[in-house]
Amino acid sequence: MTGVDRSRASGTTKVVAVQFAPRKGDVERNLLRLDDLVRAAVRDHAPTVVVLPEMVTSPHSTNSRQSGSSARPIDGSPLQLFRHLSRHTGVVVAGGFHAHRGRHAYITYVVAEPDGRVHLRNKSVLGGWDSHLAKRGRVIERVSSSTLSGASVGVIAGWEWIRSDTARALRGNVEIALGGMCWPAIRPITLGRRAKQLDVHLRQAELLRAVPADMARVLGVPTVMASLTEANPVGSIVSTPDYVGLISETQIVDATGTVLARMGPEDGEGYVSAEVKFGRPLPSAPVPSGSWICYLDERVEASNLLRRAAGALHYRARHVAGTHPWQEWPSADFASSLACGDPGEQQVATTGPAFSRPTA
Amino acid sequence: MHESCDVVIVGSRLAGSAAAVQFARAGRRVIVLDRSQFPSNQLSTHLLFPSGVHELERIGALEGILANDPVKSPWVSIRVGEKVELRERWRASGPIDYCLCVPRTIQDLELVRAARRAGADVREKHRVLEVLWRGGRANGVRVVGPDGNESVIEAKLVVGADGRRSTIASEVGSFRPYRSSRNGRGLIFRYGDDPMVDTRAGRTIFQWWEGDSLGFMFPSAPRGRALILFMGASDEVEHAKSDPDGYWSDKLAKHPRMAARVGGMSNLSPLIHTNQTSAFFRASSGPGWALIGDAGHFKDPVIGQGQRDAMWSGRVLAELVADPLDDPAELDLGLRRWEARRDSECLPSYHFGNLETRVEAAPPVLAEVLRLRMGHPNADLSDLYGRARSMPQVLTLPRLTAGLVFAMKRNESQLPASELARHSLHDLKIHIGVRLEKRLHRFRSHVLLAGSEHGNAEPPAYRPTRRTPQGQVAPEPSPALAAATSQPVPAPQVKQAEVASNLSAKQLKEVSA
Repeated sequence: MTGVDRSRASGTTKVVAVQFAPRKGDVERNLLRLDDLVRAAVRDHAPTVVVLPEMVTSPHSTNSRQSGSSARPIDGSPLQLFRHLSRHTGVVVAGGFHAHRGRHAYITYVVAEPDGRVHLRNKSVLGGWDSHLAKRGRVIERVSSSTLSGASVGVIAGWEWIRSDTARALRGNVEIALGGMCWPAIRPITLGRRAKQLDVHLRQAELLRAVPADMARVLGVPTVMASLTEANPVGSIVSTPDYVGLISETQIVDATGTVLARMGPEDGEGYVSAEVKFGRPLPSAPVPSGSWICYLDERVEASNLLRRAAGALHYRARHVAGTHPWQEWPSADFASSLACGDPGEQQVATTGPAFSRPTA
Repeated sequence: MHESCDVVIVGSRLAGSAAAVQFARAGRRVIVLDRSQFPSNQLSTHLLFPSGVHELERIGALEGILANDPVKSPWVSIRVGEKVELRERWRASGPIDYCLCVPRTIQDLELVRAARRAGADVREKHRVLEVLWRGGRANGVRVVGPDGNESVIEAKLVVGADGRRSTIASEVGSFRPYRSSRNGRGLIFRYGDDPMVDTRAGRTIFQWWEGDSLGFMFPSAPRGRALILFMGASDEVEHAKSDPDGYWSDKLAKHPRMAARVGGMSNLSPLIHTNQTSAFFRASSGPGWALIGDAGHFKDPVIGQGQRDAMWSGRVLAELVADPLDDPAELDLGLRRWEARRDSECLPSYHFGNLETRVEAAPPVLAEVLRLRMGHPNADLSDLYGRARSMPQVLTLPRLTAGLVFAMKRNESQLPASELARHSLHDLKIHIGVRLEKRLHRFRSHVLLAGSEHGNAEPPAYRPTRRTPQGQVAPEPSPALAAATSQPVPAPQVKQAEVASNLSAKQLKEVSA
C-alpha cells in the first residue's frame, strides 16, 4: 500500500454501497451484472465512492470445483472491471474478488481510483469457507486515496470487520473505513436441526447488523460495508446441506455509529447512498481487549476455528497436488499499489522480483 | 452501424492474416481491419527462412507469392573475416527447403487475399478509435471507415496485430513493455539488380562479418532483384542519411568480400534505414484480447526472424482459442496459455538477437564453432539462423566448450588470453542463463538476463489513441511507413503507383516533391 500522508484530510463525500446477488460459479455473468449495477448507481446518486462486496465474482459454493473456478488472474476481468468503471464513471470503485496472484490465490480487495491508481490488499482473516479457496494475506492495511483529498482509507473485508486487531491497526490512522462482506451463516457442527440452524442464522444476522456501527465507534470514522445477498433470500436460508445462506447486510454509518443508509437481506440486490463526513477520527468506544469487537456465539467461533484449520489444510494439500483449478493458469502478480498514469501504460502482472518492488 | 462477429483482428499483415485464416477455417466469423489499402509497403527486410515460408504455405498465401517470381534460396553462406566460411543447405521445414525475400507490397497483398479466400472479412482503410469494454472484458471496437462514418463491431475476442505502435496495446493498457533491450545495430538497406541471378550464388543467402560490422545479401523478387543490407552500429544511420553514397562506399570498403559479391549490382534503389529497433515483450493477453506479432513481442531484426514469429503467433493463437471462444473463462485461459507458449518459443531467439546486435566482432567461440563445421554442406549450424532449432539446441554446451578450447588455442582475435577467457565465459554464462530461463517457465518474467539485455531500451513511444472526431479519418503516417516511403523507389519491383496508392494526399505531395 502507498504511504499515508498523516496531515489530516477532511471533507464530505457521497458514498454508494452496493448489495449484490451473484450467481454461484458464473463469474462472467456476475461481472456483466455488476457493470450495469454500478453504472446505474452512479447515474442515480452521482457519488464519489462506490463500495462493492468481497467475492463479487462468485459466492461460496458447496461445489469445490465451482468455488475454485471462480478465481481469476489478478490482472483479469474483475480488476479490469473495477479499473474501467472507475475511469469511465469518475468515481472510486472498491470491491473484492477471488484472485490468483503469483503462486497462490487470495481474497483480494481492490480500491480503484479514477486517475488510474489501484490499491490491492489480500484479506488477512479468512472464514471457514475462504480458507479452502485462498491463502490469507498478512496485515491490515490502509490506502491513501487521491480522490478523497489524500484521505487515509481503511480497507476491511469479511471477518476482519469484527476483529479487534483490525480496530487496533486502523484506529487513529484512517479517516474512513470501507469494505465488503460475503458471510454465509455457517451451521455449527454441533447442530443439526433446522430450527436451531435458523436460530443461529438469525443471531449471526443480528450481530452483523451491529458491526459497521461498532467499528465506526471504535475507529471514530464513517464506515461503509457492502454485502453479497441472494437473489431469493427468503427461500434459501436453510436449503443447503453445508450452510444456511448469505447473511446480507449493507450499511453506510457515520463516525458516531449512526446508520445513514441500510439494506438487509429482505431488500435483495440494489444500492443505497449517503453523504458522509470524514476527517479527524473521534473514537467513542474503546477497542475491546478480546479477539472480537462484538460478542460472537462460542459455537460459531469454535465451528469457524475448526473449519478454518480444515480449510487451510485442504487448500495446502490441493496446492501441493496442483488441483486447484486456478493452478492451470500461468501465474503472475504485481505490486499492491499501482501508480496512476495513462491507461495505455498501466502496470501489468509479471513474474520476478519486480512485482514486489515499491512503485511510484 | 452496429454489428457483431466472433473475432475482430486489427491489422491484416503477417500476424493478422495468419490468425484470420485459422479462425475462419475453424468456422468463426472474422472481421479484419487495417488502416492501409493494399498493396501497401512496410519497413522490413522481409527475409523468410524455410520455417517462415512454411507458415506462408499453411496460410495459403505461398502460391500467390510464388506467382510473383521470387528467387528461392536453398543455400546459406556465413563468413566471419577471412578464414571462416560456413556453407550449408537450409534444413527443410515441412515441404519447404528454401528462403524467400519478397517485398512487403507483394507479400502482404497475398496474405490479405489468402485471408479473404479463407472467409475472413478484410476491411481496408479502417481505423480503430477505441476498444470497447463490458464486464471487465474487451468486447469489440469502435472504428471509422474510409467514408468517415463510425461503427461499432462487437466481438468475443479483440486481437491486436497492428505492429510495434499498436493501438490495441495502448487501448488495453499494455503498451509499456515489461521487458526490453536496446538494439546496438541499425538497419540500412537498398535493392539492386543481381548479375549472378541464375547462379548458385544468386540463390544463396549471404552474411559477412567484418570486424564489428555485419553485411547481408538476400536474393529477392522479382527474379533478378536482391536486397543488400548493412547492420553496423546504430549511429551509422545518421551517416547514411546525410551522405548515402559516401556511406555505401565506406561500407563496401570495409566489407571486401561482400563488395566482390554485390559490387557489380546495378539499378540501385535509394537507401532505406532505421535504428528504432529495441526488442521488447508486452503483456499480450487479457480478458477478451490478445496482441500478436510485433504488437506483443519484437526482437532485434539482426536475426531476421520477426516475420516468421509474427505468422506463428497468429496461427497458434487461433489454433488454441478458436474452440473455446464461446466460453469467456476458457477463452481467457487459452489466451494466457498462448502467451506463455509464445514466450517459450521466442525467448531463445530474443536473446540470440540481443547477442547479435552487440556492436562487436564475431564472438571467438562462435567463430570457432562455425569453423568446426566448415566443409559440411548439410544443415546444422544454419538451423540457428533459420529457426529450425533453437539456440540452446544448436549451440550445445559441448559444442560451445569445444569452441572455447579452440578459441583459446588459436586466439585469432589476438586478445590477451585472460581477456579472451573472460569474454568467452561471459557469453557462456548467457547461454546457460537462456537454458535456465526456458526451463523455469516463468510467465512474463521480469528477471533480466545479465549480458543479454541491454539497458536504455527505446521501445516505441506511447501515443494515446486519438479520439478523432467523426469525418477525420486520415491517419498520420507511421514512422516506419514514412521512412520507407521517404525515398523515391523503396521497393523497385512494385509499381510506384501501387506504393503511392496507400498514401494520403499530403504524403503523396511530399514524396513527389
